[in-house]
Amino acid sequence: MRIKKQSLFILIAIFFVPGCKKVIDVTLKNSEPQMVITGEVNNLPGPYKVTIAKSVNFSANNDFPPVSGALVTIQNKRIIDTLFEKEPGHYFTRGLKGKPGESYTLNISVDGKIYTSTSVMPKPVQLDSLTFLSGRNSAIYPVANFQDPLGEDNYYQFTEFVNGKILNNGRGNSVFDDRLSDGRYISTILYDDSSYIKPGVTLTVQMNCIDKQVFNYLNELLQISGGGGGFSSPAPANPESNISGGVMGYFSANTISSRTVEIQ
Amino acid sequence: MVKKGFFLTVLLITSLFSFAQKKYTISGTIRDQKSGETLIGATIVLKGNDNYNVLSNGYGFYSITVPQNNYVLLASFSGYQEDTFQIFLTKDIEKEIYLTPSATELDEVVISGKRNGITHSLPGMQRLSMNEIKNVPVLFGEKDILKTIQLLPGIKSAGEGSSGFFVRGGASDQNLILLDEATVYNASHLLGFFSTFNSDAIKDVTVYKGDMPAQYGGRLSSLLDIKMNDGNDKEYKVSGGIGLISSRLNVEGPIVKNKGSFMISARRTYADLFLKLSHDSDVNQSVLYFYDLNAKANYQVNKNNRLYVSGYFGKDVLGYGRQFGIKWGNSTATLRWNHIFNNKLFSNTSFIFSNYDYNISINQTNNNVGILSKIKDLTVKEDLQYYAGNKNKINLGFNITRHIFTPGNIKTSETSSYNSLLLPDKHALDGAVYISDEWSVSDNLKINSGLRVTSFSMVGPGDFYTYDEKGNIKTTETYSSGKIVKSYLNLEPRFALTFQLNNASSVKTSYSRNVQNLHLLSNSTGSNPTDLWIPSSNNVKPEISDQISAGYYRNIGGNKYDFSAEIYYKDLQNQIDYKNGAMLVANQMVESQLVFGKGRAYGLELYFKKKYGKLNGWISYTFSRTERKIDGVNNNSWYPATQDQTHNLAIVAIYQLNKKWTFSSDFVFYTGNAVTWPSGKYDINGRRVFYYTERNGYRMPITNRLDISATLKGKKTKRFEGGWTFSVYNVYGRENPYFVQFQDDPNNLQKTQAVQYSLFKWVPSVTYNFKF
Repeated sequence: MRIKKQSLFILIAIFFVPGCKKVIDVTLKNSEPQMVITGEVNNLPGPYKVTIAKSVNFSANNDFPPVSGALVTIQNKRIIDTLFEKEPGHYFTRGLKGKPGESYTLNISVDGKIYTSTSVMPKPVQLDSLTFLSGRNSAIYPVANFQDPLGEDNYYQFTEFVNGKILNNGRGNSVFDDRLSDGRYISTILYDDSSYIKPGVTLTVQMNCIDKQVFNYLNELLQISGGGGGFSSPAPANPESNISGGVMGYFSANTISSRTVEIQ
Repeated sequence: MVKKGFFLTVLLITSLFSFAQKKYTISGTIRDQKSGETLIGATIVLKGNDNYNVLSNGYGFYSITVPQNNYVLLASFSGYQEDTFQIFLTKDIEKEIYLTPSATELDEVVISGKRNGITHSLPGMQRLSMNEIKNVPVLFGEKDILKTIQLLPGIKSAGEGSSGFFVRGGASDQNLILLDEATVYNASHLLGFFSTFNSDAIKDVTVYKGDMPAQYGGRLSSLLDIKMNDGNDKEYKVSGGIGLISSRLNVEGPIVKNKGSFMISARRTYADLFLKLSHDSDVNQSVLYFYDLNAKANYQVNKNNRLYVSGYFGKDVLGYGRQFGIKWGNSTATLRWNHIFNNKLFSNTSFIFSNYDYNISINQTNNNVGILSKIKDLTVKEDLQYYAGNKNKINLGFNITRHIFTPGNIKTSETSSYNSLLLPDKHALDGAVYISDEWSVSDNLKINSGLRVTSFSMVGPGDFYTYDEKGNIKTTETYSSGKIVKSYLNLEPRFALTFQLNNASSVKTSYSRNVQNLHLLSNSTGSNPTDLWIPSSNNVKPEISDQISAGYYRNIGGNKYDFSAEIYYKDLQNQIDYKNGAMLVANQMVESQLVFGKGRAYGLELYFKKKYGKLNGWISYTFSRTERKIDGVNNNSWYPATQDQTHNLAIVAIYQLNKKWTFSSDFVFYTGNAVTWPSGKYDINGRRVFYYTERNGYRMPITNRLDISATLKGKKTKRFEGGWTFSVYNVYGRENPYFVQFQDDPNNLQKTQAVQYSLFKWVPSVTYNFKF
């Protein structure tokens, strides 16, 4: 139901012709560097990656200092995989193989602190096909089509790749849950910056089945993205991580299903 | 039967006051000579050995009982010529009074005897005349009640061009908006840029900033009491206006001359016609308009009985191409019966219907989805006003409302991605009894005291849940129809004291408690058609506010100027906020998405008004703070609420150059509202995510703006009167902040930047008005 907001704003924009926008100077407070952890285990062959970095102040460059020397393990009921640090802040599994239905626990020990998270890999759902919808100003929106399994709660994450590359700054990221759609054949429009999607490019849409905590995290993350306050949007807050110990980021065990289409 | 019971109660109460001297009652109704409209809040002064005074009530009725004597009766009302009568009071007298409108609207009127504002009104109460509202320039040139009251102290706008408002730090859902006694749930059109009230149809607007009379309740912050015109009962009149984006028409006239009248007022915007010019098929098939209709009829059955029927119907329609559409609107209907039992006892009985709904339809790919949500009220209200002598006026009565909530029904086609869903209706019963007394203790001391007892019950049928800390269902209980799930009984004492220091100044102080049992869930603090109202329940406690206030009021220059200074402190309990990422649409477990806490607000309000003369207008200044402390938000510590604006200044000036030209302007200047901005950033899968350390720890830039308008009256003939209104909104084109977005710098991907968006840089408009 994300469309609603989108359309309302397009209409306001058409009708009231926004006065203008300008870059303003704002003095923002500095903050203590925060530990940021992202990690994934999926149903494709590994290795799987865990990234540890720190946050920086708003005015700083987009260079996020990696955190080295952490002891990182991921375990399921059979094995404990101790990750190796291939490059600073990037840790990879050695032999773990992700399987739907299994529970995975991430343990990180760094700077004398312990961070943990558990995520259960849902059963896989296949992304059937990609279709397209044309919008204003010859915009092209991809539509993901798939069958939602009946009788269970399912949560989906979509990521778009253009010519094999992930879109800049997390564009083409969205989530969907079946709270109002259980058991339906679903066609969901991926509304995001579609300026990248033009005839001639190859588009890949990756659909991940994620667990509820990961969905909640990503949903909160997408809601606060870009927002800056005013009366029309709720005050943004840091999304609640599914990793304990007071960090930003999330750990997800998910399945992956992708489709690639060349846009005509 | 009920009536008789109340009557007896009144008698019992009034027997407490014994009468020593022979006293008689003078009573009647006060009206406009030309149109027969009743005048609300007109002053009646009896001058004799002692002076007495009384105000006409909401139906123009007045009554005063004074010792036998010879008096001069002075009747006055702003914008009307004063009238005087010799009264030889040797028996009860019924006196119908007709006042003639002043030749020019802004003529100087010096009210004799006691000053209105300094003694009669409750602290925090403010009235605006339709003349003032008519002349204040607003966005798109459409005169607007809700945007004009935002220029008063203590009342703030919910964003640029918005008709939403905040009173004394309260939320926008904490304002009770009554149109002819009926609650209006969503008081805005076109996403807040227009108010639902068509000024042509409105007679009187009164705002109570927290200290509302005991007969009203149900919201914490304010009461906005709006009364529609009755209609001219002497001759037929047509008036209207044609503007760039909207037009309006008003027809009124007698049903039976001098006995009954009707009024119909309609309005329609057509700004979306411009969209048709677009070549883009999604745009030229888009619609965006609203219409509304006010209608009222009244009939004087006999001397003591008068019936009123009034209704409002408004609809907004918004559609984007064929893909998406939303319609929303209010409808209200009120049937009222004024009955004068005797010259001291006035009764009004109301039957009220109010409905607000929205309907969304989505038609995309193979998705056909319709979403319906509504709230419907049926109310019975009884209000008795007893004029006990010249010292006491007693109000008592009751009201009962049945609320039916339809939280969200989803209808989908076979091939849709969404399931059909029928969330069961929810039911609640809302009842109140009240008594209040306006007591003139002595010549310079007046005490208003009242008690309102409210009971609110959530009733079955339905399944009711309790939740654990994570928002998962802990228990489910099924209730059958009519069975009470949860009840709340609350006492709401109201108290105000007015002490007149001298002929020109007074001080007032007050305490009042308000309780709110209907809560608005909205993902924005402004106005949104998909706003969802929920009742107090087993999970949601009634919101409670306690306000104390004090003020100093002064007339200067023989009533030419009014000055007031008021301070207040407000304590708020059981305030509601949402969890991060809350899902409010069509969610049966919506209560699990809520978090609760408390609030506090305080402020100083200064108001200086020039009431008469060629140049008139006002200056209002507010200093205020409003804070919240919500479980789980901002590390459980106090933070400024979004609507917290430290300084707020408004200057309104209306200048009548000559009989043809009137110029007016308003200037506003206020601190930016409190916002949450990032204090850091990090990376999640290549996405820049901002890190927040505190809620609302920053301020938007300052807003200031000047709007002007000029009204040209055409030649007035016997039959026809026309005129033009030209206005410019935001004359000096200041780019006021609407919102600020944080993003990557497109010129340097290593950097992030803050971008401010503004809505309106000078908006000109022109309207032609006519009357015949």
